[in-house]
Amino acid sequence: MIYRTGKSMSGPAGGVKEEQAQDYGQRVRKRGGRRTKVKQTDTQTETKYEKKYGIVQNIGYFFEFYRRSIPVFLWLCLAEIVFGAIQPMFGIYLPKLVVDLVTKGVTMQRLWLTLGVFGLLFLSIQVLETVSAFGKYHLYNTRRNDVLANLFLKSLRIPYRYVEEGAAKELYWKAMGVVNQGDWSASYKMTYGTIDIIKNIISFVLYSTVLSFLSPWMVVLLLVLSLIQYAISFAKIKYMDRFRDEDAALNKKMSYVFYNALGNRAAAKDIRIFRMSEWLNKEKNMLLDSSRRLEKRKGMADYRYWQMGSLLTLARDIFAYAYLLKQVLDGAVDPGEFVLYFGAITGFAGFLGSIMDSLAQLRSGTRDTNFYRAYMELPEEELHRGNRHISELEQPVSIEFRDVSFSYDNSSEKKIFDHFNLKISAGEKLALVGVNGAGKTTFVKLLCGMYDPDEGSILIGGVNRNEFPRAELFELFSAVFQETFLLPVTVAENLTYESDYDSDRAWRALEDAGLEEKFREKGITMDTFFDKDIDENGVELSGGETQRFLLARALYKDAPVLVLDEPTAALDPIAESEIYDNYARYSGGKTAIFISHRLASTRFSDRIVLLGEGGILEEGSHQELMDLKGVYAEMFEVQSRYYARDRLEKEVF
Amino acid sequence: MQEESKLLEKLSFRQNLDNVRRVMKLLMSLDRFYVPLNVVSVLLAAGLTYGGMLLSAYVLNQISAGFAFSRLLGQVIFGVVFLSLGRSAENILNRRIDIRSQMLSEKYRAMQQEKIMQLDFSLLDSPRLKEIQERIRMDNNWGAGIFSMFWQGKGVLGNLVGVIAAVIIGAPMFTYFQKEDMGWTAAVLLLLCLCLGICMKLFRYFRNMCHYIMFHVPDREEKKFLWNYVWDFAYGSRHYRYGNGKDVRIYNSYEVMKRWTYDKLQTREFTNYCIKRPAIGEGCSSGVWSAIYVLSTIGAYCIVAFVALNGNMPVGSLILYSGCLANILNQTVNTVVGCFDVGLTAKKQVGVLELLELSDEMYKGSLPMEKRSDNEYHIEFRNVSFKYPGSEEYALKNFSLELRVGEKLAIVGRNGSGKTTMIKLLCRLYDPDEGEILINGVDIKKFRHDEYSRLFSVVFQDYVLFALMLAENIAVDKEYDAEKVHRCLKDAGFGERLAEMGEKGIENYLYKDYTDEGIEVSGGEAQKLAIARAIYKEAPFVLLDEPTAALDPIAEAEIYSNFDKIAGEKTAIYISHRLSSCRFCDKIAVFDHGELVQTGSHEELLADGDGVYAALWNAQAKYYEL
Repeated sequence: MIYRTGKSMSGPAGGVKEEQAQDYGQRVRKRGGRRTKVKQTDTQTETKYEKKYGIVQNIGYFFEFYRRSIPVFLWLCLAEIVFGAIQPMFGIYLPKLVVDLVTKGVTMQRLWLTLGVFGLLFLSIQVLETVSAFGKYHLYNTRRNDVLANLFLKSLRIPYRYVEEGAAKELYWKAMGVVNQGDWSASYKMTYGTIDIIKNIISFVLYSTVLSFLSPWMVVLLLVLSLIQYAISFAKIKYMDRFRDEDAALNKKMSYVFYNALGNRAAAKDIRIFRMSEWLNKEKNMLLDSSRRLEKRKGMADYRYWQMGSLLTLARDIFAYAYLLKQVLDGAVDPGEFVLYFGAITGFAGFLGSIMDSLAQLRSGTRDTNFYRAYMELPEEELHRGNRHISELEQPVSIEFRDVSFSYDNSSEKKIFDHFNLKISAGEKLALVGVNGAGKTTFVKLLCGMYDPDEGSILIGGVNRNEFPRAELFELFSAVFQETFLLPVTVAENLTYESDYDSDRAWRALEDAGLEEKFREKGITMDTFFDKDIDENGVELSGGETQRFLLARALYKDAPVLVLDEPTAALDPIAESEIYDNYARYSGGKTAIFISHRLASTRFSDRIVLLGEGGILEEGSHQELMDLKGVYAEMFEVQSRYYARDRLEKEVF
Repeated sequence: MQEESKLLEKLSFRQNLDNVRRVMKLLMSLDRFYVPLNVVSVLLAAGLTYGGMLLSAYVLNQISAGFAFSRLLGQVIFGVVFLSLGRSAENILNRRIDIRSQMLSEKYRAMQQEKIMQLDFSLLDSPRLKEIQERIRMDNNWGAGIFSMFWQGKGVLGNLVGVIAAVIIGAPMFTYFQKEDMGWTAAVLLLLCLCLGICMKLFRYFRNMCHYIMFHVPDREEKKFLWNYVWDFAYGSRHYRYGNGKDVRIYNSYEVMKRWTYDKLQTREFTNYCIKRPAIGEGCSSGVWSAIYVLSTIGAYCIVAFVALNGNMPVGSLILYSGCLANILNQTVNTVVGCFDVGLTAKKQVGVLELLELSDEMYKGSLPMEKRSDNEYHIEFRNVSFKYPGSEEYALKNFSLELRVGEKLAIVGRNGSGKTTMIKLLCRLYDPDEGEILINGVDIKKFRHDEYSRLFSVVFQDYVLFALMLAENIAVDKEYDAEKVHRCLKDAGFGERLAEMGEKGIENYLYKDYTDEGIEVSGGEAQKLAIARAIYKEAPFVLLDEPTAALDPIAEAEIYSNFDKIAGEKTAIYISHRLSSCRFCDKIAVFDHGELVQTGSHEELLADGDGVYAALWNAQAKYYEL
């Protein structure tokens, strides 16, 4: 039972939970009736994706995937099907053989020889089946990481808005959940479900053939009983569906409380100071109680169907005994055949049960697969389409937002920008300010090409930016975003993302960001890894150092447009002041945009733009805005109240 | 990092037994009916299996002996109905057990988290806890964790009961033995046992081959990146979060990301080490295992058929005794291997046992906290020095400070100068290495910790709100005083947003993690909620660590102006990088490299032009000069 949520904060507890082939004995004899206890964690039934591809298409999809990555996989599947289908026949023939031999009173040599030959055959087929069945396990299981990696890499190739937007983001976690669930992953369900179903159908046919020697009517009768059984299971599945939403909602709660709230490390201080464990424990116990009650209700419903099936089995057994005994009495069946047929009749239902299980597995696997495929089929960013080139432009470039309207998820109510116009001339230093939620960060995302405006256009050097290939557009910006980003790879890779980087330039960038000295002191080289877990000599940077490092990365890139979004939030006053002092150097010859809550930063910009209410509230130089006595003046007033020397002196004296 | 996982370490029988005993004891303490119910279930299952075998043997014997149809059919129907009733009972029982298993495993998991919530804070980052948690993570990566214990334990029990039942039921076979057969059968049986023994050896060999790779700590490059890159990136748990998608696009780091994830999975080293070897191990061990099953079945039939041939055994008994003998052989092997499995599963839980046994060192004080309605508490840091565990540098060095009742203290300093450390020491998240902290003249270590922590309301820089009900988040309990919650929210400046939230008001859930109907709050609003939570607690000390970092100037000013409401008559400590915000405090303490370098009012401190404070102030103030 695995809970998994789709929040970025909740990583897997231990990567993956694999249900290892645990009880071999049981598995071997169970003929593919694997544990089917699957906890679905869907909260919304996204029927849009669920039904896109059918079972057969999805089976083909995964077999094709495995064929390409491990060619031997298909051969092993084939071997498992062939040997697995005939192996049960040996199981029912063995008692008959022995009974026949003994009742006939054969010689000892004959007995040994027959049983020896039969035994060897049985042994080899059984061993071949198991080797091919379980030998696949690791091939399959480890290659499943490719599926995961593919999904992740896909998330880097699609337009960024899909990464952040509700529906596609949810789909990502959904897809992640269904491909990384150990033995309940979509890929497992589809491949193993297929093998099981074919294997069981063949066995089913073989058993029917055996039974048809007894009487074709017997086969018909058993088929009818099986159909009733099928109807019962089908009714059960439909009935159990009514628990799905309740189950999903409860699962979501449990998953959050058990995996994210209880023992949350980030909250360790709060938990202790506010003595939260009692509160969280109460919540936990309440959920456990609801869960137990729900499981009981589900169990009771499920039991009713099970009991119906059990009565059917009872009727079948009584009938089989009566019929076979009658046959024996009439002399049509000898004791050996009695054993064989009785075994076949009781085994018959088992195959049908397994076929049902596999069908259910395939159906749920198909739903899962469709989530994965839906994500993999999201349109990708077209990086190279466009008929103009950035190189044609004169540098530095000018930027213009012309009549831009934008809202996340296209809602007309919550427009972040409403017919917004802004022209940034080439080489201008712009400061962007505004209250929380005024759209500063959205502006950066639009500017850097992470989002496209709903209406209006963004012009670079006077040309609509959609005419440039996206790849070139991205090259235009050196940006420091608010979210920090350090990969557990080398310093050089983090700084340059190039395999043949310019070492001198890299060090200069570090120097400009005020890190070089510290790095040299600590003995950090370009080949040092970030993160101690990866490499013993790895380093970990503090919040302030990380911010400087990201600045260095932007400086190394040296693109025509520099965008800094709150680059000093984690820095103390002196470090902050250093960044300000160097800003002119960073932004020399570039078009630069500086975003900060700290209004001091506006002082070295050519122009200040105050965002708010879907557009520009005020713009101009610091002095102009102060003279305006508007929102900016108020903000500056509030923030500088205690700094301004003249006021200070008044207060002191 | 350890070279090898402890799972591969060989333990003595006694140690294994001890592990199993400890795990079982733990489980029993969580659900005392669990084991007895399983015992009943196992007995019932064995009864049903052998009941069925006895019935069909009886029928067969009657057939070969010549029978009366209606009488035999009557008996058969009686038997079949009886068995069916038994199966219903078993089914009901097993459903109960399944639910209990689920609850048990949830409780088991929660127990670990509860332990972590109660541990000394200083232990959280200790190498010891890291090692234990890493061990739990590693050891439980394969298998179904504690769940394995449930079915493996039941399996061993079932096999054992099966063997005993088979011996009892199969015993009459000896009456058919002819003296001259003894030698033969003994020889065959011996040969069979030898074969099974060899199979067991082979099985263990192949299985170890598989386990070696599965349980090996990822010191191997091939596994290391699986953990740290593929899974961590994909889940966005540590290094990569979806918001970083912006960086990936702008800085064209796709190739780097691919190089460390997908490409690594395709290398020959990875394929050989992580796929081929375990695949061979798994395939061969399973093959050998199935051979054991077939061999014992065929062998049993051979022996019994042989005896039957000479001993005039009826057909039904032939089948019955073959079945019994096959079960004896097969289930004995199953029991032995099952015991190894249970041992391994218990070994996988040793990390959990160690976690639960970690003892708290810090919170041993027993002195009750004097409850003072006048909040007359006087705090003194006396020559306090402190290093973070595992660090060489002093985070605080020879630090002394007195704080009087009702005083408002601001702490300023550069990054890493020990400001937050001081708060952590005061809250007893850590204890000082040297020196002491006194409250009304008594060392704070001497107080009962639960009572001591009532004294503090803290808003940490990295506060956390839970995705539970808004009101519960403020009151930190399931029961809350609605009126007080409203008042605190208003005081913290959340009133406006609350008014927009509709009739559910404070009964809304925060965020969407717990329920889809939850509401989203922005960073600034969350900060206000954290402040409201601190107000609700009504503690005599209020500690605020950069409470306005995420706020715009207007919202920031709002918090400042509410500061009096938040702090009231209480003693307050305030940390901020925005020096202007410290000016409404009575006293400012300036930290530098873990030491207290200056104290005084703003004016006094600024008068010392060469001081740290002046440097900090000027760095910020110069941009605000008009």
